[in-house]
Amino acid sequence: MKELLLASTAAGLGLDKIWAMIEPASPFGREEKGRARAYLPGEEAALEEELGRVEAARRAGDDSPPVMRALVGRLGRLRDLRGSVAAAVRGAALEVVELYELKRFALISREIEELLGRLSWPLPPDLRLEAVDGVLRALDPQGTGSPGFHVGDQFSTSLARLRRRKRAAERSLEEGRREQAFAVAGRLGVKPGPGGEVVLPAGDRRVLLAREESDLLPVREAGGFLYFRLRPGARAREAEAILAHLKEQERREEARVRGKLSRAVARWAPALSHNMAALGRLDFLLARARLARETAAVRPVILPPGSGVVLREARHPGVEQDLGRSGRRFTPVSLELRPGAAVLTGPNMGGKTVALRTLGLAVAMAQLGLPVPAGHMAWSPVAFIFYGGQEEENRPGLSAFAAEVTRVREPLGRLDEAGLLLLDEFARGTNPREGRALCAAILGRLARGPSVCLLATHHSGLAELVGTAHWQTRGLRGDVLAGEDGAEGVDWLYEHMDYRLERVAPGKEAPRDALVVARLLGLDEGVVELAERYLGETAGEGERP
Amino acid sequence: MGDLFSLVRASRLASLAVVGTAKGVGKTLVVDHLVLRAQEEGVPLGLLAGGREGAPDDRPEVYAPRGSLVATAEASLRQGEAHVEVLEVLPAAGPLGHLVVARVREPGRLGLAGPPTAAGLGLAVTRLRAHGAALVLVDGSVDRVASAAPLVTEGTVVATGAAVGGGVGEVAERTRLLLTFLGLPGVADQRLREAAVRAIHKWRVAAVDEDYRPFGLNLRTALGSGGVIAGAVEEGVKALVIAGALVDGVVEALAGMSRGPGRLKVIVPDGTHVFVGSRAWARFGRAGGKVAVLHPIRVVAVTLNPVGPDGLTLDPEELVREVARVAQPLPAFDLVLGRALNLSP
Repeated sequence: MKELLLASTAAGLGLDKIWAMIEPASPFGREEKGRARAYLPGEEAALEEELGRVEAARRAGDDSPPVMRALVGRLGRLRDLRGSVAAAVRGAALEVVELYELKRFALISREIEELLGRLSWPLPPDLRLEAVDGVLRALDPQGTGSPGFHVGDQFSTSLARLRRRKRAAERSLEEGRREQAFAVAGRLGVKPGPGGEVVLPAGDRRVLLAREESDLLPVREAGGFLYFRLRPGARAREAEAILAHLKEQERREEARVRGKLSRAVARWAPALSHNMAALGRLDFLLARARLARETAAVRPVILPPGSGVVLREARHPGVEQDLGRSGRRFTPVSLELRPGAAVLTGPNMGGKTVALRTLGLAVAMAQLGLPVPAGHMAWSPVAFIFYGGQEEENRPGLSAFAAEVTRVREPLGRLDEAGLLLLDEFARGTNPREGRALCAAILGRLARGPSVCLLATHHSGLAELVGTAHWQTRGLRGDVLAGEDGAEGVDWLYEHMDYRLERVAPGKEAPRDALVVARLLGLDEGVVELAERYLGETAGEGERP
Repeated sequence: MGDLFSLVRASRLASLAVVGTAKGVGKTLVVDHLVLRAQEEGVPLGLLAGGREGAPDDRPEVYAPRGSLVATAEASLRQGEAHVEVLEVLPAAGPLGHLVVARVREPGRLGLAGPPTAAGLGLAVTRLRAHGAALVLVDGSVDRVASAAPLVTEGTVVATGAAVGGGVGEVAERTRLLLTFLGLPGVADQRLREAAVRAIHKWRVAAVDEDYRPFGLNLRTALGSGGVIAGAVEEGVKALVIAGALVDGVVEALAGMSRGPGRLKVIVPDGTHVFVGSRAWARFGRAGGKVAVLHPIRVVAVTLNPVGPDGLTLDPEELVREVARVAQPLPAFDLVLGRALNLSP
């Protein structure tokens, strides 16, 4: 993204938010998204292929939404196991939880493969999964398909034998204890508690018996009570020793089995690694296809170098969302720009900024391999996109004008490359005469270059002065201009503003709506009238009405 | 009177928290006892412990019998004696990593390191139940009673004993206070309850007016804001709703209000959110203050351990009598002496 979008352009265009709407379900997909970069001129073939993949993925999803939902659900269950695979390759014995995860991964892989097979989608080779049945055969030798995993007896006959002996020893220990407790209870008339304790009041006549009892061990005397514990008998002691020995052997044998299974995993490491990467690519692709569907996007058409950009009925999803929240609708943007410079004029609040951002966003998305939210788009890929907007941050110690000039130095230094320059009211922060001259000079420099430049401005006559194309937003609908007076407020303006773009023929100057807008917004009538008088007097002085 | 396990089974609880009045009051003793009895009765258990952030050392160790289900951190499984079948790994990210749900294939001692939040514990209980545990035991973490939250478990056993410190009187008083908090009644007024539920979703601290309209008090927490809260709660407020912790400062400020807290009801999500000392609580009560909860907790029994951590032992007869008195109508069990006392008629 970096190489394509110059300083703060991604945020200015609102691309950051669109990019965040792409949500892969798996850790591999998120990583793939992090690696994504834009396609530049010269990479048209690769971009074409990428756009085709996203389109195919989207069509597959449209055809079978339930299968696609199931697929995304499976992807969301994947966990990053590359650490475990690498450990197995190094020769380490994987832990039970790691082996469980690997078995689960192999099962999910198989399910995903099965789901992919149900889609009418000729899968690109790099998305195809390799068979990891060997992992399943190793970790689930009986082919039960159950998701759980433990180092069971089926993996080793000696493990099975050890466990049988262990169980016998446990039983014998338990019986020994019970016998002993029973015997003590019979002699003393008090039943030992669950932990094998016997508690007697200090004055109890059985205390004497208990003290002489070889099966009881005095523990402590407190609060008028005497506490005893069962002293393990010979049989119990023997069983305990055997049990400890068997447990140690079991532990060792279990580790050996885990080592053996880990070596099996290591043999399948290349296939497992391939699948994790392929699933990441698949996941990221499906996430982009979902965005395309959510934003009702179309596949953009790549034009030969030097063709400019054609945009029909394009929308800015971010702005569209904001408008939707206040119950308003987005007016789609249509325009056509050839390499060279063009001017965009129109009244305040007339949609100039939105038009610039919609254009920039469409080109940026297209070069990121994303379908664009538009009715149609065709363009020659550009080497860079620059958006010089209105809401850029003020750097301390730098005036708005200084910041603007500093930022525009980079795109203006790349005159021989085909870029996209979107300048929103350039030099508005300085005096109008010089600002206008600067705008004219920039337009003049770019007029015959390979870049596409659109400069939104309030300065009049620029297009004619430099001889560039001229677009305007239509502004307030003509029929509402007459008869409206007094403060109508912003909502009224929104309603009566025509945001559509149109070409302006040479010599046809745009209507001046600033005073009308000011009046509609309720500016003091005296001030507006005085302004109209001044406007009449200064007509012809540099800025024509 | 039967034993603790029979009582729990008769209560038809699917999950049970064991919380303590202090460290060393014998929670593990209670869990071990229940595990042993469940094994005898062939009841498949789920075992889980409430975790505490940054304190992996005092995770309790239990004997996990063959066939029981456990939920614990991966590291605990690695160090434990039991051999398990991994059934599921929950992405609950605690200080100890993923939580593994497993079935014990070969029994042994096992450390229980659980999630620190009520939500994490609740999920673990649900999953243990789904994998076949008829009863899930949650060993509550030291000095936290969140495991008893109704979101987590259906019932609670309170463990108390000499480890509280002081004499029998102190143990009984501490026990009485915890039982009071855990036993706080639900909000009876249905409209008020609905208003409080709405308020808790929206604000940390809120009030409900006489017309059952909730409004926020614009405070992040009730901690240290007692004066502000009392000031904001003027005439015409029906209830004060606190999503977080109810602490000394708040009840003291409310007790000191000129009109008194009498007609005002304080509402918290459940009894585990009350952290008030006995003096402040008494003063609040004398002033007529009332606290109600959205989710009442069902305490089924009290257990006691007359032996303290230093081997210091309180008179077991006196202790069981005093604790049974404050626990009424709940029974008190002395698991060491194997006796129970229930003073309720």
